[in-house]
Amino acid sequence: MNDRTNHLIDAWLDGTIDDLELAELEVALLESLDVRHEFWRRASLHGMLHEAAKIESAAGKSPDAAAGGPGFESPAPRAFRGSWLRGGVAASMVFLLLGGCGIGSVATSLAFAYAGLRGPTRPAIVVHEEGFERPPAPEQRHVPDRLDVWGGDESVVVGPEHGIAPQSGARMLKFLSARPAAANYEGYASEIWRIIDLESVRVAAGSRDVRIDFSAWFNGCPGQGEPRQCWISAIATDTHPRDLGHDWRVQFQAAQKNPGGVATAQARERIDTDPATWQRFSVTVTAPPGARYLLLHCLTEYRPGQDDDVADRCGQYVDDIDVAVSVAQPAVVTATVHDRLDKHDERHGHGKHGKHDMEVRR
Amino acid sequence: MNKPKRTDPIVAAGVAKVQQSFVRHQSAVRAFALALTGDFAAADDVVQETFLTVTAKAADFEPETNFVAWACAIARLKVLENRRAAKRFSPAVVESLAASIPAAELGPELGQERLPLLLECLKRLPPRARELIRLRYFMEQGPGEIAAALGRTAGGVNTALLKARDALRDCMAAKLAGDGRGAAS
Repeated sequence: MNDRTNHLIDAWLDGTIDDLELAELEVALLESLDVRHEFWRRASLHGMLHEAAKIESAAGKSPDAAAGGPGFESPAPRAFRGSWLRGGVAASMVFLLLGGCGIGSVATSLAFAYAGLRGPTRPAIVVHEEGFERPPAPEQRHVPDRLDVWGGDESVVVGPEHGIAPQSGARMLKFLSARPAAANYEGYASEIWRIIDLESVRVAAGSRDVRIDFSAWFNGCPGQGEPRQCWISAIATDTHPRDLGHDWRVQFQAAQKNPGGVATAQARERIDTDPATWQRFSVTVTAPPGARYLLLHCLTEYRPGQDDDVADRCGQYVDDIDVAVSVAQPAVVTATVHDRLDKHDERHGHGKHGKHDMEVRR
Repeated sequence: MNKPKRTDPIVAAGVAKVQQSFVRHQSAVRAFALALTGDFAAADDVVQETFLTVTAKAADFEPETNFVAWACAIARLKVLENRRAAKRFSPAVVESLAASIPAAELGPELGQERLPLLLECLKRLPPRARELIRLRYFMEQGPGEIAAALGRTAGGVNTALLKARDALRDCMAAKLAGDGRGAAS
């Protein structure tokens, strides 16, 4: 292959080709299979360098630092400043690229399902659906310490009962108490949580922001006094679930210290007193730079004394939990909602009111 | 309130499998898009759009066939639709290039076998050539920006980049040949 052709191909790949050169290259490509093969050989290396840069820069390494040589002391490349691809993601991608056998641990952490397009530039992908139709039932050990399982207070998956039918399908989740199975304290909220790894979402997002829409349906029998309060929260966080411990509220504290790493949104309202109708709660949160995990939280109010025998009668239920992600349009900044969850703490004497932004749809 | 439509679990499983394949082979798809657009940002757009289409058409994929070829066929259409890059190949050139990819250049082994070799060869580049590669790929600077930063001419940077990449390719070819895995080019 002559130097002129190589120069034209490289000029194309580097974005420096002018109109005359482009025309010359196009003719050469159309006329010669050899030129096309040389094009792909050079493009292949170009792509590998680009891929290596993405991976190693995301891991905070320079090219030869990754290879064991003297490293460059340089900022992140342009494309990844503000990106939420981090070292763990990069390590996984390296694992994928080098081994090609880590798919189960990387890609299947999210059960993607196509949900259609909301618009030409804001597609939505359902990353989690939970209708409690199939096992496993939520664990009863407080906040899960691993990904992709529901866990929390005592609950049971039930079919239609006491005049309440599932929102869809044949089953729904019934809250039984305000504490995990092995715990011994009096609580005021029956809760479940789930932690989702957002890593695979990056395939669709590139370096753009990711909008997360989280919704759940609640229903229940009114009982005595005011209608029950329910709420859902979504927390996009850079903290690994194993570091959450049993106090997930630390994430809200982290949000105050590091607003770039954590974003939360919450919707809360009293549900109506009609067991025949389900009510949908939804929140939207934009994953900030660095957010790797998504913590989902569903809660219904629990009234000690009044609810002690709820297993044998009508209680509070949740069904059809959905999480969808969509990619923010370029150059569009979506507001991030921060909520300190102080209302819950205040209600139980632990704190004071904080800013409270919510979105509730029925 | 109407009940929301739930995803069929069998369909969802098929979609998940196709998406897993996409994650596994995305480096090949990205390289394909980058070659045909000549633009990092446009290539990212193409990869993203391809992922969404692959997801939507997951049921069309036949497991016994070549996933990369299928994904790249979709990516080819996305390249033709893309209007982001300042310079674009004509549709005839895009079609011609897409039909003549040497199997060794964009196969699954692209990253699995060659990335470690590439990193090793990067380490062996002379310092000035390595700095050029760092600025071009790790800092995503164009030759013009690099020239301004280093006080060189754009033409000189273009030539130096070409030589640096040729050196990398020769190095990788030698390593592949030495390992008995055949030449890279």
